Amino acid sequence: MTFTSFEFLLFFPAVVLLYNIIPQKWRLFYLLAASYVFYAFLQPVYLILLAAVTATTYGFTRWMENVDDDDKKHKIMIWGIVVILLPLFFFKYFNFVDESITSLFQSMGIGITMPTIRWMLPLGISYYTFMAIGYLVDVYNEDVEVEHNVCAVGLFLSFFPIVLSGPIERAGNMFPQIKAMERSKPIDLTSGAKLMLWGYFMKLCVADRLGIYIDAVYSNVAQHNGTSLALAALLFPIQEYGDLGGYSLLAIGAARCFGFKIVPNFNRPFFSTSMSNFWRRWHMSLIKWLTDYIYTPISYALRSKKMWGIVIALLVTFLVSGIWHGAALTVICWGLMQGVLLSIETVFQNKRNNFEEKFKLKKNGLYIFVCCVVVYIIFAFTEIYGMSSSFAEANLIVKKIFTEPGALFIDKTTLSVAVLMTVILFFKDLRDEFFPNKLRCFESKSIVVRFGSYLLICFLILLLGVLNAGQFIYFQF
Amino acid sequence: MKKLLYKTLVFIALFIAFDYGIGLLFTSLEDKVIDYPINYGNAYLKAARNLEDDVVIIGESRAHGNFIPSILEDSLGMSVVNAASNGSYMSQQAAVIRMMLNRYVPQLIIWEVNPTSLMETFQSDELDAALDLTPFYKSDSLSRYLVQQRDGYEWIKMQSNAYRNNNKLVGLLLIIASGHHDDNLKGYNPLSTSGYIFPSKKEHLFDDDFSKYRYDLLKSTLEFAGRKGCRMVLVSSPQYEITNLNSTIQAQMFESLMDSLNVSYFDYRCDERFQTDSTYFKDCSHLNQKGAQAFMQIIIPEISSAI
Repeated sequence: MTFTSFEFLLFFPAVVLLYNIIPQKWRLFYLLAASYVFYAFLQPVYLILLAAVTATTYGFTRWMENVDDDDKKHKIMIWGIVVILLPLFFFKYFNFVDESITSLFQSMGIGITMPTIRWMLPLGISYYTFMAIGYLVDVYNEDVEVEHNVCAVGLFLSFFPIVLSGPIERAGNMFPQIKAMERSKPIDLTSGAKLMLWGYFMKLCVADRLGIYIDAVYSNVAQHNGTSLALAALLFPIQEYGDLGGYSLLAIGAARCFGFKIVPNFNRPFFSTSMSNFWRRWHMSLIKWLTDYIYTPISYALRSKKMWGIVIALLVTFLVSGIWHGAALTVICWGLMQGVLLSIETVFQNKRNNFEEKFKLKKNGLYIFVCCVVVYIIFAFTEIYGMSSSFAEANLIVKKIFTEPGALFIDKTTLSVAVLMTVILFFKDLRDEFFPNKLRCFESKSIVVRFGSYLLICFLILLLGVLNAGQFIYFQF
Repeated sequence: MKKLLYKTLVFIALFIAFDYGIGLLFTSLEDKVIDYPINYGNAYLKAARNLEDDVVIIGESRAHGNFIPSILEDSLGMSVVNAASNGSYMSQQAAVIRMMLNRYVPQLIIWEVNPTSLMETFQSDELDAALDLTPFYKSDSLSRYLVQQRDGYEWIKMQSNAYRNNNKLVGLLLIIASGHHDDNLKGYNPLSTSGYIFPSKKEHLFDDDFSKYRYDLLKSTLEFAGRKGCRMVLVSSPQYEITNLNSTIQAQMFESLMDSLNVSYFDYRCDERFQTDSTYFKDCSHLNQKGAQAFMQIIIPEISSAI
């Protein structure tokens, strides 16, 4: 059962309805049970792992609470992080490290065989592991109080709208809401439903429709020419935005139906005029997590090195981001590329500011447009490495793009629908970015416009959505 | 909360009304496109509702690009139409053949099919392709059965006209946009002979993989055609590959079924004349125009002898 399955359309309203019927004191246990049932539909065996991470997190935070000595507290935090990271390492990175060591020894002429793990990656493990670590660090920093109710910690880490692909929530935002858990207000239900409707549109009409074309091209790189590969590379960020952005809206909307306000994950990323601006708008919950727990401590520790301290912090932060995204050298390289691009931007930031001030470009529409296009193209280029399974494949794509132009591979039906859906998505984002109070559809004061918009999106999904597609891209992380 | 409940009920009522309207719209679009020249987008609709040709070609993309109705017409002296549909599977083709035979009986059906159709492993793709049969969901029991195999909730989803017509709008509109042009091709999809690298031969090895369900479906369809008095010819088109298919259980069962029902089966999958010349192929599975023309010259005497 995933958000796009029919089972979820039966499960979700039933869970919301019952949540509003039962007494408040039972809601915590009820939502925890519903979350575990949701997870069990997908990977029942790995519920044990989720429960174990919950117990570990709870145990270490309670232990920290009972210790006054700061050094000892620090050691407990470090051990807590190590223990929580163990399953992630075991399931996600073990084979990668193992293969890397084997090939290193082989390159030195030493033939060794190491054990390999052929188990499925537990869904959401990267997300709930980061949430657990964040909670542990927040407790150490005394940013949040230790939660004494193990069920509350359990719900924080397993809350079904966000357990599979985030957004990566923080204890400081979630525990007060878990404690409150009042009956859903009408505004919660309507806002949640609207977010979910738009999330379904982004996922089924934009991401999965584009995915048909992109998969057709990328699954057969050798057969396609540079023009088709370039188009696929340019479309891929939109597919990813539709996929994870759509999933995030579904998660935020579903949580909102229970009265929970989850942190946003995307903020119209394709209207970014710089890479740093882009990374403040793309997968925001992950970047906020990395900023708070990696970038800020490192840049603080290296503050004496001034600009170079920031550059090192950026490189390390995005190296971790790459590692988080996948256990493959290409993905780690993608992370480093982001770090390098942001570092270059940081180094030249003052010069760029002076240039923009001198020629009064900050509000120049053409300049903003060109910057957005450049940022988009740079990101799309780096994504060739982010999505490729090997450097050989990524390099082949890049080489073909620059050396093998040809007739564009066109799937008329798929591309025409994909373009139409993408235009609708961009129109909404454009409106939200530059004219937030104009042409409201879902938020119109006129009930005719509102209902008309809901019906239009519903029928676009049913008529033109890809209703038999695969999983969300970010489930693999 | 009462206000929200009231609005929700109004929305549901509007949704049902619009959904009903969409059903009517698609019915009229389907009625319209069956008068347009045959194309894989309307091939099933035309086969089920208004074809009247003497010879009908049924199959998937290989049939669509390998069988040239004009050449067959000249040689056989009968009207021929290619009603193949890209990406379709034997089970859907069987449903279309049955619907067609319930309406009229052509003199000959050429069915491009091969023993891989009896394999179990294709099932998940086949379930998705079954959605091509949704226009007949209400009227045809085999189509309904095949669509419902997709998942346990499919019968609920199919109550929505919009869901039932998912992914069909653009295809229908493209047919209408293409206009009432002369139908010289009669469903044939010529594949280009230049602008690409001719394929290298690939190795395509199969394990023994046999589906009793598919076997029974193929058998019952052939028997049904026999009862209706329609002659069937089954053909496997040339493919550019090295394969062990003929030594598998599925191939043996396929051929024994043809023998037992006395149905003509012409297997050109590994024909030497094509295996030695890659310029006949667009890719390893499909003949280009040159290949299709050569194939027609080879198969016409066989078909003539079978009717």
